[in-house]
Amino acid sequence: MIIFKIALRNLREHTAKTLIIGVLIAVGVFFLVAGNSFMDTITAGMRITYIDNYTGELIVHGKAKGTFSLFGIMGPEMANAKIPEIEQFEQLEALLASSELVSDVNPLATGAASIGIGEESAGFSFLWGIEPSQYFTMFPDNIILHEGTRLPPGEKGIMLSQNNKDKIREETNRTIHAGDKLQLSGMNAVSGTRIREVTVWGIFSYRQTSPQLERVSLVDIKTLRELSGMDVGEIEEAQLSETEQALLGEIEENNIFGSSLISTTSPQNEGFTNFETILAAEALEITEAGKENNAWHFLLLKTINDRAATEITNTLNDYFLENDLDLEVSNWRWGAGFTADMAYSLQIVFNIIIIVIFIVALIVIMNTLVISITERIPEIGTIRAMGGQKSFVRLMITTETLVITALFGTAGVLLGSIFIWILNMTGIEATNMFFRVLFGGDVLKPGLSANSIVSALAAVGILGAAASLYPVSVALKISPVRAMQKGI
Amino acid sequence: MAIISLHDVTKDYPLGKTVVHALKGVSCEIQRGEFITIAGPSGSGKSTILNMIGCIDTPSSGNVKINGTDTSALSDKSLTQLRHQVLGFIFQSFNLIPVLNVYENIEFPLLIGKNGMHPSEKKTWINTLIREVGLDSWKTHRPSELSGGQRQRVAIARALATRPEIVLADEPTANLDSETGETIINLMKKMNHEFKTTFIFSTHDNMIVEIADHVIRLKDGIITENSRKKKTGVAV
Ligand SMILES: Nc1ncnc2c1ncn2[C@@H]1O[C@H](COP(=O)(O)OP(=O)(O)OP(=O)(O)O)[C@@H](O)[C@H]1O
Ligand SMILES: [Mg+2]
Repeated sequence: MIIFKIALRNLREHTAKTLIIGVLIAVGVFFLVAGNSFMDTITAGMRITYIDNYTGELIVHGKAKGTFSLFGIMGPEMANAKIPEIEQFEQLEALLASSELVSDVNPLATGAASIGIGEESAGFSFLWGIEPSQYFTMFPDNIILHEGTRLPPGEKGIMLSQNNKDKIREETNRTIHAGDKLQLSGMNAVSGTRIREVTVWGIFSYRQTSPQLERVSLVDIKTLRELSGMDVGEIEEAQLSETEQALLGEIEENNIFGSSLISTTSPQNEGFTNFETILAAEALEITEAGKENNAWHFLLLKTINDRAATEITNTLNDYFLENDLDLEVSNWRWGAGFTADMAYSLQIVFNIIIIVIFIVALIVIMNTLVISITERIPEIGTIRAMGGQKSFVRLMITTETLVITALFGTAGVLLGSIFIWILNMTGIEATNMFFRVLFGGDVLKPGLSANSIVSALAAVGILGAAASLYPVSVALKISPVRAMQKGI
Repeated sequence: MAIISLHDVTKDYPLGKTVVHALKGVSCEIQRGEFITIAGPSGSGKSTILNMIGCIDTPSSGNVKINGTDTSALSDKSLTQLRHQVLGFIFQSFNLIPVLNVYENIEFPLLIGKNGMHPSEKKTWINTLIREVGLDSWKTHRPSELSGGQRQRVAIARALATRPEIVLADEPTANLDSETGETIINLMKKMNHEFKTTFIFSTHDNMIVEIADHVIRLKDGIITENSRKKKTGVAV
């Protein structure tokens, strides 16, 4: 009680000192609360957007040298690198589908193609190869269909993104409608250039989009495999190019020694299948070939909850290790590519700023406290002489720091909350591309996050405790004989 | 048994490369209930000897016994406890807590450590002390609103709050004019009389020395006189 009384009165008495420390703390807390709330809103929004609509919670994929994401390979490796296909896909998919922790499994492959209409070149599109039945089960509501229908299961064709459609109109002055035909030409290191004619089933936009995402159209997986050379196991005689022929020849030679491993019922998933087998398969049913070729780049998972995601990640990593598979599990952030990276970098920059403020505040507060203790040497000496134990002195100094911290910390929380509340009312407009990507739209309405308040208070608590450590040790060294010093 | 006994106490202060011998072997005894002054010129070692008795500093050699207990054997914690229970302090520059008012300053020693006082008993006791030092109408004033003499009255009351056996006062009148100084010493003597508390104060003012009934005179760290007035005790 007396300690609180002394603390409060000392703070009131030494206005300058109190204000220096207090304003620092309040400003720090304000930034933490407002900044973290802002960040949390962005990441929470982004997280839900991506997990629910594009990436799932976890993504299983192969390992490659270059950096890649669901959007393909980024950076200098783009030209000649190849995204690895998932080894032993069927076993893996079966394993995951049977897990109680996994609520949904959906394979995906990524690619890109130039678009042509007749002789005319009409731009470029990123492509996701999907199995419609699975894809639209995992993401039932991630797109808005402007015209036409969704890609029906088992059919070939493309669902064109509105952005691609707009780009085509810019390039060629033609407006694409559902039912039109387009030529897609893919180029890859495996099979050179491939051209496929596809029917446009529908035109759509993603509900929540980013500049990266809106350039992605959806195609059936078979077409994607053909365009990107993941189909070396399949043949459509009429469209076989010279390069393809040559390549198939090579593969046949290369695989003679391995032919015993290959059967028509369980072809190997690398796409290297014996030529004999292919011919046999062709004689069967061409549509069946899609099932035989299980070349996928990604396996997207939705888990029943966050804890399950961690558990599944561990299980899978063990499984990959045991079975000597060159696979890994990444989270949605990885799949979201540079958009998420951007938010993440921003968060890192923000945290660095906070750490700098923290250190500056620590030094300033510590110095101010040491000065105030030096000024109070006779007072502290007197307390010791009168029989105050060291613990009493320690309590007195820490209480003062804690009171000031709590007082101005609360002020900071209030200011931060009010600030976020105002922003929530008015909304922050995205003035440029950078913010549009970050906000996942044109306006962001940040919400106050409990996490930001808790972490701000924790940070400021630690700050207060850390800043008073040295001053307290100085105070404890004050001998009672210092009471005799002239001063008070 | 003497309440305080010093046996061959020395105190050396390192001063740069040399050493100051502030006390050069001091032995004396103080009896319970005495009103003693330690007199001597500046630098003679008055403060040093009071610091030893007050257990806020330790001798370089020799020993100080309080109630028969050798203080050199005690830990910081036990010494602090001893100061709280047995000793009261009055300082030359008053040393009141600036943010506390008169009442709170006097109450303060009771709050910094254990004491068996009941809250209502405590309140009565503090009010008694305030009345005794004549500050009834100043209870809620802060030290900064008081004169030097008034501040030293607060300090006297505070020194008595824990009902100590011994009160030490290092030049309690040095910051006061001589008239006020004399009233303060007389007030201390009144308290000594009423509560049977042993008072030890230092001074270099010979007028004030007269009021004491036991004088220990120091010069250059050595006792040059140790005499009790006939009416209160036997000459040593
Ligand atoms: N902390 C210290 N460091 C060095 N020397 C000291 C210290 N304290 C006291 N002295 C020296 O010890 C001697 C005795 O000092 P002390 O303060 O006990 O004298 P005093 O009689 O109280 O003098 P005054 O009347 O000026 O208060 C003096 O020579 C003083 O300079
Ligand atoms: Mg002195």
